[in-house]
Amino acid sequence: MNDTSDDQALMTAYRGGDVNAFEILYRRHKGPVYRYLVRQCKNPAIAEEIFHEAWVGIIKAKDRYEPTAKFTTYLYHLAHNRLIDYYRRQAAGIPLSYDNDPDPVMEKQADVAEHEPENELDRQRMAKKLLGLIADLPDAQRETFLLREEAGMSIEEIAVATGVNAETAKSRLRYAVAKLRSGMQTTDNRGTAVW
Amino acid sequence: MVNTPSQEDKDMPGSGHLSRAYHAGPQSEPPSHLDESILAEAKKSVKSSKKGLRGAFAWGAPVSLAAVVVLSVTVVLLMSQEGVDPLQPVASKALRTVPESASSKATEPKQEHKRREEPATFAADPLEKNIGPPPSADMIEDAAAPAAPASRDRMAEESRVTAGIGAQEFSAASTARNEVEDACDLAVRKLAWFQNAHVRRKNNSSFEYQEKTFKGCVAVIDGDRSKLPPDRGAGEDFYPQEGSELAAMGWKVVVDAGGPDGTFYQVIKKNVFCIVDGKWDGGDDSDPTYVPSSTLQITVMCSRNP
Repeated sequence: MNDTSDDQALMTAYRGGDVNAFEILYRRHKGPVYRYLVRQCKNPAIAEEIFHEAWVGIIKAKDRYEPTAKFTTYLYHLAHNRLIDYYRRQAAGIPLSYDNDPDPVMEKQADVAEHEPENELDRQRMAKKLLGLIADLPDAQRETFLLREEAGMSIEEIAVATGVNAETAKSRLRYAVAKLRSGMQTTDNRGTAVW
Repeated sequence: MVNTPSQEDKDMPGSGHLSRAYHAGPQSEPPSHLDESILAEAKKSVKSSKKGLRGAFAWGAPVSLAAVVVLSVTVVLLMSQEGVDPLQPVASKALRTVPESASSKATEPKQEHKRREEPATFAADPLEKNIGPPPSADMIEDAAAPAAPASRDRMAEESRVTAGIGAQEFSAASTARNEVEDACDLAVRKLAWFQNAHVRRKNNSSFEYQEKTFKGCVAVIDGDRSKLPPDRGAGEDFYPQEGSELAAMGWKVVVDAGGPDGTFYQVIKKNVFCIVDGKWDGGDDSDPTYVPSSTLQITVMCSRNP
């Protein structure tokens, strides 16, 4: 097993007792899973707890692991479930956005000229602004966006990981993207919307 | 992990631009203590799997041998008490003539030994460390049976005895039954109605809820969703619907948060509250190849209202 082995092969090797395979798998995915959780629940201490629980869940279930689905789908499904458990334990319960999905009919978007930032400082500034907008998204839309960006998941994989159908996942993502684009808009000196 | 442009990007104009902006931001990583803890857990799990396998073979023979020796010595002692020469080939007769009292003495230590071993079996799994051993078949039947004080007491007795507390201790402790245990009895009886429900319960346990630790009863009911009747789900039977028997008893819902992968609610009655947390795999409508797990677990936690 080495760094180029695919996730399923690594997990299968770990099931067979190869701890090194798990370490490769963990180092490959720890950052994206961690960022997904921190940005989703907005509380680093809770995110760390859920992160730990999700990985321990993978470890404990290793003997039952069968490589029938993508490992990342399995991993993020576990993390998502732990997150939902966390929401359930809160007095406010599961955020309403998980039940009240937006109408799948998309709002018409204004044409926006997109410009790549010219220097590193601009890139950082825009990234910071974007993270602020992501934090303000409804929870279910934020989760969908984060799963796409951090885990690189397709709509279908996000749907499996979050336990909804593909249409719902797509609708959540489209709304998230629309809101983020709208929030990133600025106006140039000719009055054209750019960002 | 940056996405490559796909049909989805084309469907969502601007998402590629957002993606680039997103990945230009800080790439935070988990703290090193988390890495260490998880990797240590991964190593420990592999070691314990290997040890468990090796241990089974390593200890199997000596334990069997020890059991044979203990049994043989017991038989010889009993035969000597009865005046039978153990070396004579009349062992079967001697065994038949062992008085009932002596026979029960011979079997008692084995039963006690078994009772003491059971909690350790469950403590071996860290996820189940606060949960007592599985109840006997009688307990499960009682759990599903209509309320009857005698059966409730027997259920409690079973629970205590299997938890390692002697029957004599129980007779004194039974007078101290409190509202929390009564609530837990009721919840388990209502929720463990389905076939093959497997109940583990501990009355003097603790659990965390809304960042507070509560002392009380914790019961875990395991089952198989595929065995449930098609028209009836699990986990809702302690929910005091309007006009229900539970509502008439004074139970009220204060938190309700269900979903496709489980149920969660908190109910209260005067000085007691209970939480019902049911978990199962809700499946995935969008993926016909996904086979949901049939396992079902309902955790009941009851304590005094703070």
